[in-house]
Amino acid sequence: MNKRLALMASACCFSTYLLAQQKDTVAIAESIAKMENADFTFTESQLDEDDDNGRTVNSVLGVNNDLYLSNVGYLFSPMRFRYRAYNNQQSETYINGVQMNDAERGQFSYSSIGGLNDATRNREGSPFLNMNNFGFSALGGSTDINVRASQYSPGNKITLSGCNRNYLARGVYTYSTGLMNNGWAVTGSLAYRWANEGYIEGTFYNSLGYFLAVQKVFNDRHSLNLSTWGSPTERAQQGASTEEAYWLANSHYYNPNWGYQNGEKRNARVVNSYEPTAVLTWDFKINDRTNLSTSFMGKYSMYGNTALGWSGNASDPRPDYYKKLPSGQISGNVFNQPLSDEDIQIWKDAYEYWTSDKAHRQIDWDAMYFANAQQKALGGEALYYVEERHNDQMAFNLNSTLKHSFNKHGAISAGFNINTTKGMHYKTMSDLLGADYMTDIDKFSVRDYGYNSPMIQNDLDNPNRIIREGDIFGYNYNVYVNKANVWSNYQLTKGITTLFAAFRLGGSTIERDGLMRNGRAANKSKGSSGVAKFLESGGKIGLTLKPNGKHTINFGLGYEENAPTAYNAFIAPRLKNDFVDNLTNEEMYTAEASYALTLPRFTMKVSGYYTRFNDLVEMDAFYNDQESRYTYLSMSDIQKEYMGVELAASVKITSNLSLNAIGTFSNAEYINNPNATLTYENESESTPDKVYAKGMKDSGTPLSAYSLGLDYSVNGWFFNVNGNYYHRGFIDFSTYRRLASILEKNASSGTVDENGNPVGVQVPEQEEFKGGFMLDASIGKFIRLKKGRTLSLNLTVNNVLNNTNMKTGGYEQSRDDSYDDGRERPYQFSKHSKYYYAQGINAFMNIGFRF
Amino acid sequence: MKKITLFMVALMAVILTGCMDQHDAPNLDVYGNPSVPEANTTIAQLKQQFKSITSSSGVQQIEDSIIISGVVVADDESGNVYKQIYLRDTTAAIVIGINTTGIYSKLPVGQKIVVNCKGLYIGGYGAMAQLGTLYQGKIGRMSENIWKEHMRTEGRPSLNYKELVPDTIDASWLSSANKDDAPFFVYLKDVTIEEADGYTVYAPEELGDGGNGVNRTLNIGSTTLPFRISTYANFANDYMPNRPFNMNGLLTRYNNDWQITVRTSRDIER
Repeated sequence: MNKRLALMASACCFSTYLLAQQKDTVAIAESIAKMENADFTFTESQLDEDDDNGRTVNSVLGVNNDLYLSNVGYLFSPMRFRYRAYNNQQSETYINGVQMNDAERGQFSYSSIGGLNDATRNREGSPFLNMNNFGFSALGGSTDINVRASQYSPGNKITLSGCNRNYLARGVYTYSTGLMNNGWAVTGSLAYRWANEGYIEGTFYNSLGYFLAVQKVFNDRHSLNLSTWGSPTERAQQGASTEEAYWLANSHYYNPNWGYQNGEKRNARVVNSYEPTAVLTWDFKINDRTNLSTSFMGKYSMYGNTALGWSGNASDPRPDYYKKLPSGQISGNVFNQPLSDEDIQIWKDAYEYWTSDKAHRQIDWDAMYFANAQQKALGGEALYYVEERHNDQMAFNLNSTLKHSFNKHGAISAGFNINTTKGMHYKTMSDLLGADYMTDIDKFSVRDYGYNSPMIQNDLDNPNRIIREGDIFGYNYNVYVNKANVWSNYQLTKGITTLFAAFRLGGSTIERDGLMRNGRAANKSKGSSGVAKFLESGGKIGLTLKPNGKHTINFGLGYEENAPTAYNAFIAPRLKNDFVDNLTNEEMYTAEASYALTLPRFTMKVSGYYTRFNDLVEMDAFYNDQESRYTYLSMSDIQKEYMGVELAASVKITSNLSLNAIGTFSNAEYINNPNATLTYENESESTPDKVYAKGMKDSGTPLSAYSLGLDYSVNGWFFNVNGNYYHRGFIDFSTYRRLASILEKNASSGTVDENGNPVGVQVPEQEEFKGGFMLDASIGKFIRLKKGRTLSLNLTVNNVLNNTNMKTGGYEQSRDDSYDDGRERPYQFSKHSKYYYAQGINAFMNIGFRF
Repeated sequence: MKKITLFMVALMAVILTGCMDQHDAPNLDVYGNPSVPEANTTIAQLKQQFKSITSSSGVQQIEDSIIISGVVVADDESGNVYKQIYLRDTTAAIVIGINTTGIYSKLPVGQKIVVNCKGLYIGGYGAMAQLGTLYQGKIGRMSENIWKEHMRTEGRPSLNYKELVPDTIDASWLSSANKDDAPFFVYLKDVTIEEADGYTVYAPEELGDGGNGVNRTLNIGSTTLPFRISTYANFANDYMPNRPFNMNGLLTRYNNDWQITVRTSRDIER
């Protein structure tokens, strides 16, 4: 048991590194290179995390003793693989024992530690059904990052990297004193990542990361550590587009987010993020078997992303807006040939326009400035502008964990955490593009109610308020979330049997506080929404049988009842205080079993799992092209099922050549047609509805992925080659297009088919992406220099065969194919979904020098 | 400690490096094709030349080098005028059909423009003269790209052009005017809307006809005119005034009938 605990405690890279120093250099080189690359690839994949899309990878980091988990995260990250397809809120990240997931959305923001790979490498990971020392591990696993100053190995380290991905260059410098004789330890790290243009055209990257930790070890019982870090980042984003636009641009990496301004590239979607954080940790060794660790964390997160706005009747400035595409300009249906001669001419003209000049398929900034200058000449206001949507957050977290081992057979860990979070949501006028002002009214409401109606006012207490650059407008509200939890993990080994049990009990409150009285919801937008309270609980039990050193069999069961996230709890949070109707706890039940075999030359693990969710709540907020207005679609009573099998195996062919295989086949889908509430931003009322979601799969990750790899090492060099095959990726389905009110337009009333759906209801099928193969390779060397200095070199090439046809994700347009009267639209939105493609061949060169 | 100081200095240095999302404002002052030459024809001359075509709702491509110039007197700001502008010089006005929305963002009322008509089509829509392109054998709206090739702006917009002063007309003028000369930009005094009762709005969606418009009745003394408002106009759901008012109007022809409409709700003097 102690051995197991020790193994887990040392499941961090630095101690692995230190231990390994006495062993052979190749193993070190390999583990370092693998680590660096895994880190890089994994964190890189988090860079696209954004409010409105789930383009992130998800895995349990730091689980080094699990053949499957230790590899799957980074191996499949080019395809944005999510562990068991679980949502990011199902996995947790802790730092020095403090739960760091954002309390409003439930997920950890990797960009808050962006670039600080060296400072955050000491990790302990724990899958759901494992004993750990920091918390009630989440369904998708939990990872605790240790940032105490004394645990870094003393000395200097410089890492220089070059690549052609989101950024081009990275430099990291880390210095640690180690634990000095006077009991102090200081560690600092500074990182910078930069690209004037990344792999995707029109994207830039500008990010600094800093980390500073100071620890004082008072005696062998007490120590105090203060760590603080932040990663101010400015980066331009890529946008998804349709196959037609990709074809016209002759590239799957066409980015509609940028355009020329004064001949220079400017991106309309820029993320500014900075999350300064500090953690104070007190470690108290009560006795040889008992440790108490208490941390207090404070952070102030600033996150803003910019977007184009246009007011009045100004036309949509997005270059790939459907009316600007050839198939959107013709009066016939491009999928229904032959077209009329006139349509062919219009199509040709538009094709010619799109392909004759790159500027024609990008944003025309100069034209927007021109339009604003025209209005200004007449004393008018901005027609085009850039707004910044802010999601700021202030959070404090107190955490305390007690660890105790009874004897060599049993251990317990227990703790509590208290979190208070204030989320601040508002938008500001980022750039008026040459105009002097704008009026804070809702243009969509103007169309419906006229200029004289109070309904059009975003800020009814200050009607027709003049907005200038920097001013808050549109919406402004705070969300308060408080959480408290107690938990305990317990493990007992007797003979061949290890029993694991854990529980959690907690409470959570959610409240919205409106700071603007919205004209569409005059009586329920300003002030408090009232407080929604939830009692949370969880329990799990695991049984491991180890009849001998070779076989390990494991079974586990778990359940949780969790409060919905604050993000999903309101039906139209930018507009009003209303909670989703019948808001209740979300239920989760899970079961899993695994078998592992360990032989001298062969190791393998196979596992299977089943997870069921009830009463989930999900909120979609999107610009609705059909209605040309901002729309909230909130689903409740969602039932979902996740299941799959996972396999990992490794054969040592010779002492320096091994063959590794990893694979998973899984399913993640909606199993009912949930209730829905539809709210348009320009209306006061919300409409109850239903979404035909049954059978729809989770998107943004391949549900099946397989990998076969070879590791070879010789004379201090090591080589790795991996072939990965991905399939069963699905598009993010539009809930709007599957609303009962839309689908039942043509339904015959009363009669139902064998599925219970009304006859005439054609639920649009969800697109499944074509599978595909990717080859990754890496080479590295570890060199020991004089005076204990070391140099490590590593080159990784991903997607060696340059497969540029792999869709990593995408989404359907929220617009259906027929007009309200049932006539077919010429532009078939169902056939023009928007996609993201995995990057073509890309490389990462890394040089690490330790001195 | 030295190293920590060094570290802090380096940190500050990087923090002070600037942000990358900064751009100079462009100063574009011409929209369209700067090589369009000076005007050589008045709008009245153009309409006269093709009168037989337009008044019979025919269509013809303009092959001569005809260049007109005028001031935009009606745009699509409110959505009541849709995918067209009205261009007026001191002699007459004409409709230009452009297949795009938000035209007013570039060409608002008060913008002087020069249009090279060579290659464009002229025809009669409901027998009223319109510049555009060929669409199903009739006059239709041209694409924005063709439009941009054939025109250029002249200076910034201004509300001081005399072209922006409407012709004051009355019932007797109406009875004598020639419909072939439509459209007109007019000013009417002391008119009333028959359907107005203080509670009725201009153009509710449910009353919209096939062309998404609602015809109200404008009383000019004892003469009446169809007063046409689009259900998409941003004032479609405003209450109609139930008392006499003065108004600016676009007096148009639809085959053998007069019709009147407004550019925005500001045309109706309260």
